[in-house]
Amino acid sequence: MPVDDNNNADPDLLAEEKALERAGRLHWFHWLVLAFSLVLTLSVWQYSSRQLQEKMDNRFTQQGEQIAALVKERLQKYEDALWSGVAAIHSHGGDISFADWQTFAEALHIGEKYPGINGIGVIHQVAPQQRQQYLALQRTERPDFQIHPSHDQNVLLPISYIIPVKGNAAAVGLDVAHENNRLTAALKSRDSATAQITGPIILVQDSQKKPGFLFYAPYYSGPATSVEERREAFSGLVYAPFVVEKLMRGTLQKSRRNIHFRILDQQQTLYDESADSENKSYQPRLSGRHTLSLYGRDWVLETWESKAFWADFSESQPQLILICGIVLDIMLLSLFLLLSRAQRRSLSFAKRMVARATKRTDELRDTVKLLERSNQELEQFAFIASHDLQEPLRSVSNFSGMLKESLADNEKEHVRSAVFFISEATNRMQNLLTGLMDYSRISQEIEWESIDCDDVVDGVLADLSELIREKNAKVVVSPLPVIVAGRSQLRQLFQNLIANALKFSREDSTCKIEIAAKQSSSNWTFSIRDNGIGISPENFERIFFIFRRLHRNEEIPGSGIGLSSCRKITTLFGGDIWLDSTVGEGSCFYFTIPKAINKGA
Amino acid sequence: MLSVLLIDDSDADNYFHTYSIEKSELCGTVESCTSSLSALDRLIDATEGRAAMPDIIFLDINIPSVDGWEFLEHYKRCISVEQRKSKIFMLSTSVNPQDRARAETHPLISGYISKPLTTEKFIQNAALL
Repeated sequence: MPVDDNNNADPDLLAEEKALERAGRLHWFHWLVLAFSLVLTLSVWQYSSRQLQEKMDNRFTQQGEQIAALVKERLQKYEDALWSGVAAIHSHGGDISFADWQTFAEALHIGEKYPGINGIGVIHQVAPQQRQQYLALQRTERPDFQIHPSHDQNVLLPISYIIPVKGNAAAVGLDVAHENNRLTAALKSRDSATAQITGPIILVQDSQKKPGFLFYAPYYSGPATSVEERREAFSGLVYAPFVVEKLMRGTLQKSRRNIHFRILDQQQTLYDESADSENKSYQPRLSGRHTLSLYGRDWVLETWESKAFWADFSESQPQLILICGIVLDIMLLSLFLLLSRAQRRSLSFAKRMVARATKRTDELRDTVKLLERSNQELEQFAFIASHDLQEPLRSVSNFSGMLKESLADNEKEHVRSAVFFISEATNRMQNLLTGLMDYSRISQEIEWESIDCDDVVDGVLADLSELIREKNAKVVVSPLPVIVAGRSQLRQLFQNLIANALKFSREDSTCKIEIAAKQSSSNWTFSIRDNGIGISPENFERIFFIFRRLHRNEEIPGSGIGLSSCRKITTLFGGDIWLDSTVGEGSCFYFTIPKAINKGA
Repeated sequence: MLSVLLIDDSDADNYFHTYSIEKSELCGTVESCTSSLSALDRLIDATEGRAAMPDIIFLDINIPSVDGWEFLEHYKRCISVEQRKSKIFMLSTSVNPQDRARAETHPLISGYISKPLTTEKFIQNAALL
């Protein structure tokens, strides 16, 4: 029996096992994939946060510029109002009365259309020597008109009118030359013939003392192309006082913006939203700076964002990308780990299965050995028993023969019958023991050799010649092949089958037996056909069992061993035995013998 | 007087058993059949009034062709419940304990007797009837 030894396992299998073991671990390419994906995640995160930052910066800068533009635009609008005041003065012949100014100013609807200014007014240039004359003129309509405060400049620039009167009373008569900021801008306006604004001042009429400025536009009594001509022809200024805070109403209103700012004029704060109580706890992260050149002043607009600014940006997007990427990486790593674990587990499972199968095979091999031994012992036992039983039986046979002879004339029928049955029984017993001995001898070592079946059949027919003659049987043998088999077993096979064909012949017709062989690709199929009594199909299988008989011994003597021996022999040869039969017409026994004998079977 | 039917393929056994039963002087008739099918024919004749139904049947297990067990199947099929007046005993040389156990639990079998059937054994079992 071929035995697989685990130590001689197939080298291919071993190599594959090694490969599987290697596959069960994480390798550089796993880590490479992980590292690559991590780098990718970080890059995307970086890129998206940079994009976001850029977008925010752009938006922030844009909004800051928008504010600067709005401030500028708004001041331009006021400038237009001032110049329209200048035009009104010219249209009144170079100067204007309080009443006319009032008519003009009211037509402007300052309250509704110019919400940033406290009013619009006229400043006259008054030479010191004309002071009284000027006062007299003003006092004709406003008796308590005063110029204030006094100063030592050689020119007077008193505010003659300011409309609306209400809320501006403190400004009426104020000499803007008394203070440097106001004076400098006024003179600059005169010399340049352009609108100018003052540096930061506190308006006298502003009770809250908020930073403000004045906006001037000059008017002249004659041609004013050069500085000298302007100084010569300078008559006064149309002006408007501003509180910066009020300027920021309307489109610039704080609540409409996400950007907050302060305006500085040479370090002095004109306007500041940082001190507001709203969102005081909020620390802005962006800051911007815009320079606004406005009517002779350089304003610096410092901007920062409000908390609401961020509402437009989903700032969490890059973080989300980062988190998702890292989660994906972790999942990837887990997947790798799980896969490699599954691989290791299946490998160990396979190993355990192999171990178990090997164990099972070992067990089976042991069982087969045990069975073989016990079978051998049984056959040995049957052989020895049948052999040894024959000796005492012979004695019984001999002495019953003696009795039969001497008691043949006994007057008692019982005695004669008893002696008859004894000798019958001993004969039968001898047949049985011989059959049993033959049967148990079958599986002794087969000596495989090339055998001419014609020779074997001839020998068998010669042995059976007496019976053939007795039955007057006709035996036809077709040419038979040369096969590889065990000689004594093959002979026994033919002997039993031909003897059966003779034994179970019919009384009413001549016994005819045909022996033939047919080949297929792998087998020889032999057939022994007779025209005997036949066998009914329900007995086709049972006749091959040992001691199974279909007939009483008294009718057709037999041991019940012949066909079971035949089956045993064909099985040993690696073939099969079966039959076809019709009761009353005859039987045909077939057996196969493989062309290539498997001697290991 | 009892009537007995022996079903056994062995002439020698039938002869000996007939001899033992007759010696008991309990029986009027002892018949024997050497195959299951001939025994069935004999019993069917009895159901149709052509013969007497035996009081006791001794049945061998190992009978060629149709054995004792198969005989019982045919018996069940051919003989109606009312007509089953015979007591059936298994009478066998079988030393197989499975055969004995099967016989003892078989509803149609009244007892199991191992061969040979001696006069004493027959009297013992006949006394149980």
